[in-house]
Amino acid sequence: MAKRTLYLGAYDISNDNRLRAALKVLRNYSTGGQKSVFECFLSASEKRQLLEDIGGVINPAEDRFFLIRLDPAPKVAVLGIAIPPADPEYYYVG
Amino acid sequence: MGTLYLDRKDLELRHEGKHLCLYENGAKSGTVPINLIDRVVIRGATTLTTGAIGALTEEGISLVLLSGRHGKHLATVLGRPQGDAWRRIGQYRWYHDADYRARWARTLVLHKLRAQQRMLADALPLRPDCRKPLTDAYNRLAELLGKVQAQTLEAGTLPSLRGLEGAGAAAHFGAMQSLFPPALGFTGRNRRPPRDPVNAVLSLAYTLLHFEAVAACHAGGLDPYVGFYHEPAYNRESLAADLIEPLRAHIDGWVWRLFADRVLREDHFTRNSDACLLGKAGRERFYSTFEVRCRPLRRLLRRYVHRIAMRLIEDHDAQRSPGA
Repeated sequence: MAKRTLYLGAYDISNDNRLRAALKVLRNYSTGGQKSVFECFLSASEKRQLLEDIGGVINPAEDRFFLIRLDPAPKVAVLGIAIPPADPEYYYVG
Repeated sequence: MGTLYLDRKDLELRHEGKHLCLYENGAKSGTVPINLIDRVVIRGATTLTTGAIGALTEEGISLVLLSGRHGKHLATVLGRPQGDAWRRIGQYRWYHDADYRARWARTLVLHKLRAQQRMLADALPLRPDCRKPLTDAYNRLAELLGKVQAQTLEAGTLPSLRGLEGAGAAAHFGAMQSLFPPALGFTGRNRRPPRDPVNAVLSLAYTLLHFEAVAACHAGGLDPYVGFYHEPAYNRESLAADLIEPLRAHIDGWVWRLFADRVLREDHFTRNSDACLLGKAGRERFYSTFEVRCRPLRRLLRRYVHRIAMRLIEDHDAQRSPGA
C-alpha cells in the first residue's frame, strides 16, 4: 500500500481556460480545500504525476503553482465554512 | 485504502477525469479522487452514470449495493477478475477431494472456536460480574476444541464438525447474552429479519464482511461460490462464507463494545413489525467505526486468499510435472 502525505497545492492562473483545466487536474487528487488551494494526500508517484499534469496545463510565463508538503501536525484551525482535511481512508455521505 | 459510503437519497455519482463528482439534487456537492478509494458502498436510491461504473470497475474498485431501508444486499459489481483460470480449476478439483475438504473444515472450525474463546477471555477483565457465564462458555469451547482436534479425517467428518461448530456458537452467543443489558432484548442470534438491535448490527456487519471476502476472492482469482466447508448453495458465495467464519468473533466483540461504549444506543433503532432497523444517525456512527475495525480483517482476508491461491498454483505445477 502506498504511503500518502498531505500536501497543499495552490495556483494563480491568469487565463480562464487554463484555470478550468488546472481545476480539473487538481480535483483528480484533492480531498478538500478552498477555491484555489487544495489539500491532496499523495504518494510519491502521485505527486510526480500531479506535477506533470499541472506542468502540461499552465503557461510557465504567466501562471504559478505551488505544492507544499505539510507537517502531519494534528491541530488544524478552521474558521468560517472551511472543512478540516479529511481522512483519505474513509468518506461517508449521508 | 478508502471506502466511499453513500447513504442518502437523491445523490448522483458521475465521473470526470480521474475523480468522482457527487451531485445533490442536481447541484455539485463534492469530488472524490478515484485513486484514494478502494470500494464504494451505496445504500438506497442513488443515480450512477455508466461512466462512473466503468471508471470504478476499470480501477478494480468494487461496488456494493444495499437496499434503502433494510440494508439487504442487492448486488456487487466487480471489475475484471484475476486472470489465472488454473486457480479456479484447481479449486473445483479440491472440492471433490474429501480429504482436503475435511482438513480445511477442521482448520476453519479450530480457528473459529479459538477466536470465540479469545473474545470471551478479552471480555472477562472488563466484566468481572459475568465471570460465571463467560468462564463456563470458555471451558465449553475448550472442550469442543479438544473434540475437533481429535477428529480423524475420514468420511462423515464434515457433518460432525458442523455439529461441533454449532455447539460452539450456542455456547458463545449464550455467554454474549450476559454481556448485554436486558433492555436490548438480545437472547441469541436471529436473522432474516433480525429482531433486536444487537442482531440488526451483527447482520449488517456480517453482510459487509461477507462482501469483503467476495471481493478478496475475486481479486485473488478464486471462485467465491465454491467453498469447502459450506456446501455450494444457490446464490451463496460459499468460499466467502468459509473465509469469514474465523472472523465473526472479532465482529461480535466489536459490536459488544459499540453498545457498551454507547456509540450505538437503543434510540438509534426503530421497530417495524418483527424487524429491528438501524436508523440514519446510528448508521453514520456504525459505518465510521466499522471502517476502522474492518481494516485489519480485510488484510487477513487478503492473506487467506493469497495463501490458498499460492497452494493452488503449487498444486497445479505438481500436477503438470509428476515425478519432478
